[in-house]
Amino acid sequence: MAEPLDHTPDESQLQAPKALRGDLAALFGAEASVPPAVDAAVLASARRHLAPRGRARTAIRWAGVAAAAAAAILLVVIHLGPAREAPARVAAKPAAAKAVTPDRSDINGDGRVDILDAFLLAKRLDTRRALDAAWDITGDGLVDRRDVDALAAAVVRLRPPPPRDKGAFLSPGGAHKKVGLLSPDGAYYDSPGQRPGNHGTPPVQPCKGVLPRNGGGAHAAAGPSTPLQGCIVLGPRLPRALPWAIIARSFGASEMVTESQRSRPNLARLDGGTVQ
Amino acid sequence: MKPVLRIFLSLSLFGTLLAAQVAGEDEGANEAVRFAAVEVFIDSGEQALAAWQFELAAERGDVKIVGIEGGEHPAFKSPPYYDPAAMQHDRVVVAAFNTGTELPKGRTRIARIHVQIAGDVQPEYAIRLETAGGPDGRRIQATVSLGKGEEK
Repeated sequence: MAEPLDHTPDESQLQAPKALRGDLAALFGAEASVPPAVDAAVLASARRHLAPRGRARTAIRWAGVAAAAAAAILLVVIHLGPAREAPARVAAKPAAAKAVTPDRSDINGDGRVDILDAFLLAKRLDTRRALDAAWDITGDGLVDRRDVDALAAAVVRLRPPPPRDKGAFLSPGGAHKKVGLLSPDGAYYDSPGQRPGNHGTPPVQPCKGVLPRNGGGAHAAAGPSTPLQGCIVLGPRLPRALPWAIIARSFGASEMVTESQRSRPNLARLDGGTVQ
Repeated sequence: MKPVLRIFLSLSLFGTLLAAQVAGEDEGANEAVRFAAVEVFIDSGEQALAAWQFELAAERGDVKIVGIEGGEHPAFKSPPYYDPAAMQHDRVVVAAFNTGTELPKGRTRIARIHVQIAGDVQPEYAIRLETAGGPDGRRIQATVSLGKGEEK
């Protein structure tokens, strides 16, 4: 098949007519000459005109940088700093719903929170009297019958009874009402209320003695040299593997301090916490 | 040790432990368990009783609270408020109120506590009236007392 013929001339061979080239040169070729003084005046005028805009632009640019930095700091604060506060905020709501704080639940303002407060709140609801937003016990944003029920439930909630001085019967001769236990592993289990330094006779010296195994119950058999300053010693003959923390707790002991800590003010609680 | 002797000793030990456990269970089964009701009364005298709250605890005996019901007066017939955690324990705080106008006066039974008693020890209870209020919500003078209910 024959190829089509190309009749388009080469660009390098294209030439405008001479008259046309002359006219075009007259129109666009020559530049208008501007005197240097006029040029300088125009330039100075333009600078004067544009200078404030440049300063403003610079200020805006720096303001943007500052805003970006502030936003970055804010983001860091939001994401890192309040991370410690956020759970508290989250936890505060259910806690407020469960644990009724006395000040907000003391509807009648008598300094006690009891069924009379729930009764008064119920009466106010019944009679459609003014309600205080602080009486929103459930924390749901409403003061209604559920708050009455929550308040009533709170006042009947069982609280642990005051600790009985179970250690009293352990005291040799009844001389000391509060006693502790020194287990074979060297841990001293302090009875409630006892702290080295704030009670009269802390068992500073290691006590010696053996808890009798033959029908002696919980009475301590103290050796002659035993300084029974309100402490009961469980001698080294007893197995260390026994759950001494549980035994001590059953005797009413609430705190534990190891032998090396006995002279120190800080005690380790049986639950693992520390008290100063 | 011969295997036969070892098996014999193991079986003997197992049998002894099993017998001890069965004996223990029998001993527990023989322990007398009975149910009783403790009735709680409040005497508010001439004043109408609109709200009350008391704490009851078994001071002696193996007692477990198994149920709580309301009182005799219509105002307090509904079950009162109490902590469900008190069930199967020997201590409970009970409270109720009524915002109506038909309220009891004088001595009235406000609640009945059903208990399960194990053993032969005769239970002793301690009750403390924590508060009693009138229709206006103010505290009123009242006395609380216990009555022995039906025992099964």
